[in-house]
Amino acid sequence: MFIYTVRRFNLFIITLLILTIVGYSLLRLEPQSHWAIEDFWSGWWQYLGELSQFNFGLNKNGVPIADELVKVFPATLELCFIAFALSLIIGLPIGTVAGMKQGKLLDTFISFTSMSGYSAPLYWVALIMIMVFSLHFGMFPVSGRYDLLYEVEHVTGFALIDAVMAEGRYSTNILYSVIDHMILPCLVLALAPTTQVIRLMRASVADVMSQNYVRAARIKGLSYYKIVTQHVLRNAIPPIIPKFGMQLSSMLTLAVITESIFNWPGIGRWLLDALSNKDYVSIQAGVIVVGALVLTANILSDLIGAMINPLVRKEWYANK
Amino acid sequence: MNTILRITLGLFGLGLLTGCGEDIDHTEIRQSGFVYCGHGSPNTFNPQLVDSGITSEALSPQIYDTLLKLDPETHNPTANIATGWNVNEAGTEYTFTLRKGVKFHSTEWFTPTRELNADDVVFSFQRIIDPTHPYHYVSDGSYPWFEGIDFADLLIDVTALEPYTVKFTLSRPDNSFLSNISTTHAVILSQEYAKTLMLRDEKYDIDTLPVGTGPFYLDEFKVHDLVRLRRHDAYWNNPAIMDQVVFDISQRGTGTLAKLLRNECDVLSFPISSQIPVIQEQENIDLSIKPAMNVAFIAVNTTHPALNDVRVRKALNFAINRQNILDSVYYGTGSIAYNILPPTSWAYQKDDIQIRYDRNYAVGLLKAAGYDNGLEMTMSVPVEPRSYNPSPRKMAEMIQSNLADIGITLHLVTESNLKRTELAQRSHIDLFLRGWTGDTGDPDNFLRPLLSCDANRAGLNASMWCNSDFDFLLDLALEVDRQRFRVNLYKQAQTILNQEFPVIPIAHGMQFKAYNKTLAGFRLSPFSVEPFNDVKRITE
Repeated sequence: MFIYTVRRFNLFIITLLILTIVGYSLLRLEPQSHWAIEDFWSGWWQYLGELSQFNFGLNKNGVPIADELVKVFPATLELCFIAFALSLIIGLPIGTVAGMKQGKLLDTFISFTSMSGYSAPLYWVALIMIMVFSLHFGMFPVSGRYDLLYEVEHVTGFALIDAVMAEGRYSTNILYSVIDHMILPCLVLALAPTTQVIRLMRASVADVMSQNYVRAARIKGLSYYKIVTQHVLRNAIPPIIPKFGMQLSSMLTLAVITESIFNWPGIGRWLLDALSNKDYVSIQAGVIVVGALVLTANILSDLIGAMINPLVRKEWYANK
Repeated sequence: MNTILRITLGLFGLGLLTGCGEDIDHTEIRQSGFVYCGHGSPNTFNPQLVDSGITSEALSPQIYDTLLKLDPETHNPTANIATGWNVNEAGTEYTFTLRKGVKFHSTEWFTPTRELNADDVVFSFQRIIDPTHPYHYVSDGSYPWFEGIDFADLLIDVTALEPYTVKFTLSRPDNSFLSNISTTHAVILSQEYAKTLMLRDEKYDIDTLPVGTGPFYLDEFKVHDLVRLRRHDAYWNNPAIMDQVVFDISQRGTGTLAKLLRNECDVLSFPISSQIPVIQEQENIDLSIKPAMNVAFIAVNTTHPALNDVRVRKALNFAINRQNILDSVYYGTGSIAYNILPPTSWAYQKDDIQIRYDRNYAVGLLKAAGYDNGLEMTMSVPVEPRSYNPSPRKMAEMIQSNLADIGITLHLVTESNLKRTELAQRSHIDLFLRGWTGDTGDPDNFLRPLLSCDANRAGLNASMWCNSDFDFLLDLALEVDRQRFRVNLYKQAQTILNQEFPVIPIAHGMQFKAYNKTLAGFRLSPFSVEPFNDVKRITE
């Protein structure tokens, strides 16, 4: 396990370094920046020094980017984490059911629904949901993180935590406002990963179901419920854990769209603004931060997967 | 495994519960303030430094005060911070008496120790006109609106005679001077604040962390998100009723109309014409429609070889079908522009001989100019709808098809997020789809910033057109003392424009504003947003 961790970590560092080269090249795109006149490798070395102190430079308006990232990044993380949790909570049971009933009507129905959910364009789904739930039924607000009239002090940047920590007579109102605003974007963002989780889980469960030990358990007379919880799930979940990391990274791409439709003040909307302003310094910082997050998520899910499922480690050694 | 299942189910239940927890009461916070939508994010909080946008149009009257104010009805300057003024015989010296007891904001970044006096007025105007002033070059030293009217050349000196008396010395008599210092650009900053900042070596803060005397002070600013203003309790006029005003400045999202319908926005300035029917259907929203001091036009880049020929410019003018544009872009709400000046101006001249749709004449003019084989041009098109142009893209496409009809191929360039000055430097653009909203009711405010030689130097005059006769008429009109002479001079100037066509006027838009019916107390002005101090929420 130790060697496995070290290897993964090595890979992480090297990929991160390549990422910094990308970010650094982005900085050099702007002819006026002082990076453009530096020698490539020595400039890169300096750039790494700056990055190690979280100094991303100044944006076009002269504001330190690190200050802005502190504001926008938690918003995205919050959205992604909740959507991710949501996709697991919904996806795992439904996927299990589909896997158990493989080939049956229920399975066909679930597969069809998840496939259509997966193939529907996200922005369309988002707009339809706004139309139906916000404008027609008036259930949820159309955009933002909370009612703008409430002043939520920025402590952690996670609106939920900040709202719980908020004091004063509006504190409960703020919390409800935050939750209200969160529901639609989280549902929209959770859609694609949920369908993916369902498909992964279905395949994995179906695979386990055909194993001999499940058949043996059934012959032994174990209850259906026992078989699922004791034998199927325990063997079906670990192999797909590393794939969740991939989900989180594809989720960040979707978060850009979701944030821009729901006007969520996260890193996706912020990056889009930077792109339209041709603010290379901000783009660079965004690329580095998002890239680092994706990498970290991938490595972490790999490590957790290996921790739970020793088979993966063996595979790794064998492939060497 | 049982526990896991239980937790999952529990979480599900919790999720459902939060969905049901809708009934929480948000009316209390609604009583304390309102949300204002429809503007973009500000680059600065100092209206001296901008020529349009949220800072001068909406924030300035809330945060700052000006010496005088324009009366919304008569368009004449009236007392504000200055309670009265005298002009000398020659019309070159103005002496203002200032109001006593005007208090500056106490904010996190500054606590004032004195009230507004003559030093603050001197500081605010010297900053603009005096290049040796320590604050002149702070934030780039560019004062586009003032450069457009050649203010630094007009105003020679500002001096404090007594603590509450200020004297302005002009280089020449100028009839529009009082109107110009009544605009939202000519605000009074705090000299004491500037001094403190200088000691701390944080001069730049004067424009980003504003201190003014208006009914609200800046509390919170998030780029592309919100500007939160809070009540200035010691405001000299009626202190505001509402505790806070939030400007929703986000430009992404499903749009401000959806927010208005969901009561997330209480006020929507500049709704797009196509949204008007939807807004009118709503029972809880009021729509105010007023004729505005504005105009949409095409600025013709006269440095372009073909466009330097007046016949080609005329051909463009005759080729455009204004009535069609009015019907489909303005949904019949605006009026055809026969010149730059709007119909509400006292120097308005309706010239329906030069401004008409005559395709054949246009083709003939092009032929006479030697371009019967066709021409290729580019036109820049703004993204954001404004009151003078509710849908720039649509208008541009209609012009494109009109011009294609006479053999001119028009390429459209979207000017997203580029600053206007940056765009003016891009000489490969031949036509600019533009507009202008008057800051004062004075005709000079339309003609000079858009078309004078000074404006050309300041980069505002996109036509890059400079005509000494035209400038002479404008200068003369500022100096003559009888109204009827002024009218005559401005009509002559307009005649020059409709012979030369450095700009092709298209239409005048109406000013729309949608309000939630629970709000009352808005005062309307054709020039900018009025202070919100009387705004309150009435419970149904």
